[in-house]
Amino acid sequence: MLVSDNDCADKAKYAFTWDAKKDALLGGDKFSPFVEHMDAPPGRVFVVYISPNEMLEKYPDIWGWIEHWAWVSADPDLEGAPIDWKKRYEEKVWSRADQK
Amino acid sequence: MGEKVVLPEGAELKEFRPVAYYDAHMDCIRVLTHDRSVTEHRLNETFTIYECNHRCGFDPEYVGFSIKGVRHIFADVGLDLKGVYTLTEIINRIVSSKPGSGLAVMLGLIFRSHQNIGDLPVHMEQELYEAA
Repeated sequence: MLVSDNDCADKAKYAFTWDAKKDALLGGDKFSPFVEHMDAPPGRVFVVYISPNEMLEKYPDIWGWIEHWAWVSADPDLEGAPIDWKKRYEEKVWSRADQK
Repeated sequence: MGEKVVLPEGAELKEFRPVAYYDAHMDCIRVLTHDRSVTEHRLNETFTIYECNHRCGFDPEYVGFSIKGVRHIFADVGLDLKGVYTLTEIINRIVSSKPGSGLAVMLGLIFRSHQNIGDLPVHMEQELYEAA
């Protein structure tokens, strides 16, 4: 991934994934919006991509920035991981399944 | 009714309209035809399609897609990253630059499955909230 002049920008990002139980939709109109909670789509995990803060001196209270989120089909073998996670990501940093 | 949303002071919601924009942080063009929760299905390293999660009424099965590796693709086909194009212009340039390639064929299939989006401007230097 090329971002600015960094052609390995994907290596600087983290993917947080888990089998979330609920989805959230924005309902109402622009004057009275509300969040509606629904069951998560079956067989999916929720994925959030984060770039760690590289300007800690300027923003010391911020760990990182959320850049994108989406549901992805679940991996059949690793709980909470998206399908083909080995192809998607460079390495597994941490897994809840490893702690059991 | 669900949980009330309190917007930051000065913020205002706008009615959703189909949108195409360049996500500079993830180096991809995202096209959204409906404001829905989606599941992303990665077709290959370049293309991802967005499936509508909670379909109702006349919701289509797929409500958008993304094209990844845009900086590399644009350089390859001679498009300026700072320009403003319609989606059709970008698709046509890629397809005509690589006729018959897997990239061109798949892009054509995805594009044809999303109707009435050809005239969407693709905002290359704006964030989503600015483009919408």
